[in-house]
Order: sequence, then structure tokens, then C-alpha cells
Amino acid sequence: MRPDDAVIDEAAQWMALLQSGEASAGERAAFDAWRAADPRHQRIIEQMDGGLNLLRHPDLRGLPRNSLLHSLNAPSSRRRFLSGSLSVLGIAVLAGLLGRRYGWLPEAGELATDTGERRDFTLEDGSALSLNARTRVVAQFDATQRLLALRSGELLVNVAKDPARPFVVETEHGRMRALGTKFLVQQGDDFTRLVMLHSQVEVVTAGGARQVVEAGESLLFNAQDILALEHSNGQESAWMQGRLEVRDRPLSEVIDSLRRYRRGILHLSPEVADLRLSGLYPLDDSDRTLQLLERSLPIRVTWHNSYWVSIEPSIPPNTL
Amino acid sequence: MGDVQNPHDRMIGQMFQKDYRWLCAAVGRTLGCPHSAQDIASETFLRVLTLPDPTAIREPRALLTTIARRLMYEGWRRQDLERAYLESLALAPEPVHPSPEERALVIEALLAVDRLLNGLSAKAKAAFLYHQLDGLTYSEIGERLGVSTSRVQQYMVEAFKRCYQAMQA
Repeated sequence: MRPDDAVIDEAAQWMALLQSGEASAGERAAFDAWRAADPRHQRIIEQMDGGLNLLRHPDLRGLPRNSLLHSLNAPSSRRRFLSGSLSVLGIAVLAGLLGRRYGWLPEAGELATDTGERRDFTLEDGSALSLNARTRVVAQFDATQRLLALRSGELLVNVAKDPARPFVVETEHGRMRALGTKFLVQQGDDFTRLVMLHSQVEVVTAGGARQVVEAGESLLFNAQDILALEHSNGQESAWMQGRLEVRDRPLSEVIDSLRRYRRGILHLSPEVADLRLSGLYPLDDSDRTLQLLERSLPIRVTWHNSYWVSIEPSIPPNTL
Repeated sequence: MGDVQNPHDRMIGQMFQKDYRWLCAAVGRTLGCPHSAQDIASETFLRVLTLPDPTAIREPRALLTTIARRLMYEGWRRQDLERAYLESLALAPEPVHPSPEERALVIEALLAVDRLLNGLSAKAKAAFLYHQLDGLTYSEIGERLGVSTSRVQQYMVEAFKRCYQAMQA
């Protein structure tokens, strides 16, 4: 990684945060501080704005979105020589876009939590639902099934028995179907994790792979495949009590969990992302967790301000 | 123009005499079509003419090859985009028949966006355009694409990096 890449990544993260429309006044102030901290920061932001200006093309706005996306996803004929599968991919993506457009409407029944917030809900069938921070689910119950669509984040549900209506949790990677049981579902960006606390559930991935998961087991899957079936370590639901328990996990995973509990930018340098650690950390006091991590790992945590924290390798004294 | 040339024009003139045929042959080997090879070679020299300081060119053939290659890729990509655009018109529920002029403008716009977002996944492109052109929120985009809001935010991060790189090129 060139030194600039880290700064460009940071700048892009700030832009994405500010454009989300959800940045707080504190985060905006932190961004101003970041931009003022180094003339390079200001320059990179200006260049990104310049790139955005290329989109202010009047002919683009008038173009139907499907048409625009279909065209941009056209396989490149230069690459077609190298890989015939690219055009197949383009068609699959288009089919996905059209399918969603016509088959799926947003609706009421959304339950959500904010950064640093955990909440318990009782669903209309009596099932108990707990949401971890930054989680969004949509409940769609009807006469034939009880469907919870997990859009992002992590949930734990204790399902009320109803033999007539199966209880289904759906993520972008697949569906989990139960009759009466207790389990935890975490939707990551590249996978879904299911942890069975009681009884059993049948998983069908979006691509059609099937797996029955029993109490005490943990299943990792993505849209295509079952990735891993392991013994649950019993710590996955510790967030219910505001704790983060890890045993031999990479730092990147721990920081991801922590991000749900912090506003602003928490930048993790790739050099230390794979460091492994075990421990018990307080989720609701992420400042303290970061201090604890700094004490036990060869990392340096730099507090530019409370909304902007970077984690980098500490320099071993013998190299100075 | 008289007989007295400035160093700029003389330099280009010499380059043209020495390297035009060579460039036509090189491009022709790649394209397999001598006719379009001449077009590409001419266009390449036109681009060289607009360079701020052609007298500083040390390796004329390397430069010509680079520009010509970029033009060929651009030409192929333009064809790809045009084909896909016409395809999408045919797929549209209501038939649309833009005039040749409108079509040409759209293709130019497509080419500019394509260059900007080149290398991003289809979903990342869609997310970025839904946000920038339609003003959808990250959660609306997530719903439309069937991904989590945090994934949408990551798409945005990637797209902003591309914006930066596009301005560097």
C-alpha cells in the first residue's frame, strides 16, 4: 500500500459518511478538522468533488436508470477475449435488478436500531426479538408464514410456537426456516452467520444449497454456498449483555463489531487487521475497549478527536 | 502557413513522416482492419498535436502506441456501450426512438461515466448512481439492491476512490 492509499481511503470514508445525510454536527466538525489537518486532505477531497462533477451531465439524468445501468454493465469486448463468463454475469445482474424492481416493494413493519443502541421487541405472534446496534429488519407476517427480513446488522429471536405458520428469517444470502426455536442471525457484508441456541433450523441459501443446523452449532453461508458448520463458542450472544467476547478472532472482526457502537470514522490499517486476539470487552464504552486493545496488541490508537480514530501498527522500539 | 515552421510543427512533421506508416501497420495488426487503423493513427497524431510540449517527447513510438491503444480501447468500449444502450431501449416496456443526435450525446455521457466508474461492481455502480442522480438514501438503495446499508456505504467509499483516481488519470 502506498502511503497515499490510506489517506485516500480515509477521505473516501469521510465523503461516504457525509453524503449519507446521517452525519451528526460532531461528525461534520470532525471532518472539518480532518480536512484542515493536512493540505493533502483538502486536495484529495477537491479531486473527489471534481470526479462527481462529471456526473452533472444533463443527458444522464434524462436517461432511464435501467437503461443507464444496463449499458454501463455491458461486458467489455476487450475482456471478452479473456473471459466469456463476464457477459453471463452482466445478464444475471440485470435480471436481478429487474426482478427486484418489479417483485418487491418497501413496506411498513420496519424495526431498526441506531449506532450504540440495542432494543428488545415483542412481535405480534409473541416471539421475542432483540436487535444489536445498527440493525434493520422488516417484519412481514401473514396467514401462511412469519417472515423477518434482516437488511443489516444482527438479531436474536426466541420464536413463539405456531405449527401453522413457519418462522423465516431472510438475509441477502438466504433463508432460515424454523417452527419454534431460539437463534441468532448476523448479516455481514459477504456472509450470514446463524447461531442455534435451541432446537433446529433449516437454511436454504439464495443459490439453493441446504443445511439443517442443530442447537449448539454455528453456520456461515453466503448466497451460493455453505461456508462452514462449526460448534458455537457460546459467546455470540454476549452483546445482549453489552459485552463483546472473542476467542482467537482477527482484529478486523472486533473493530467491525465496535463500529456499530461508535459514530464517526474508525480507521483500521490493513497491516494490523489480521492480528488475532481473545478477550472480553465492554461494547457500551468503546473508548475503553480501544484502550484495552492498544494495551494488549502491537498497535497504536491515535485519537484525532472523538469522531476520528485511527489504528496503526506501533513502531517496535528496537527499530528506532 | 509559410515555409518557416516553428519547432513545435517541425517536430510533429518529422514524427508524422517517420512514424505514421509504422503506426498504421502496428494498429492494423491489432485491429485486423487497415481502414480503421488509418483512422486511429490519424486521431493519434491529432492528440499529439494538442499536447502542451511535444518537443519534450523522448520516445515518440512509445507515446504513439500508448495513445493509439487508449483510442482503440475507447472505440471498443464505445461500441459496447452503444450496443448495450440500444439493447436496453429494445427491452424497455415503452418503445423509445431517440434521434441519432440524441443517441450520440447519450453515448458520450455514458462513456464519461463508464470511465469514471470503471472497475466497480455492478451493484456499486448502481448504488452510486441512485444516490448521486436520484438522491435515494443509503437504506433505500440497500432495499432496492437487496444489500445491507453498511454495504451501500462501502460501495460509496469505493466509488469516491474511483472519483479521485479518475481525476488523477
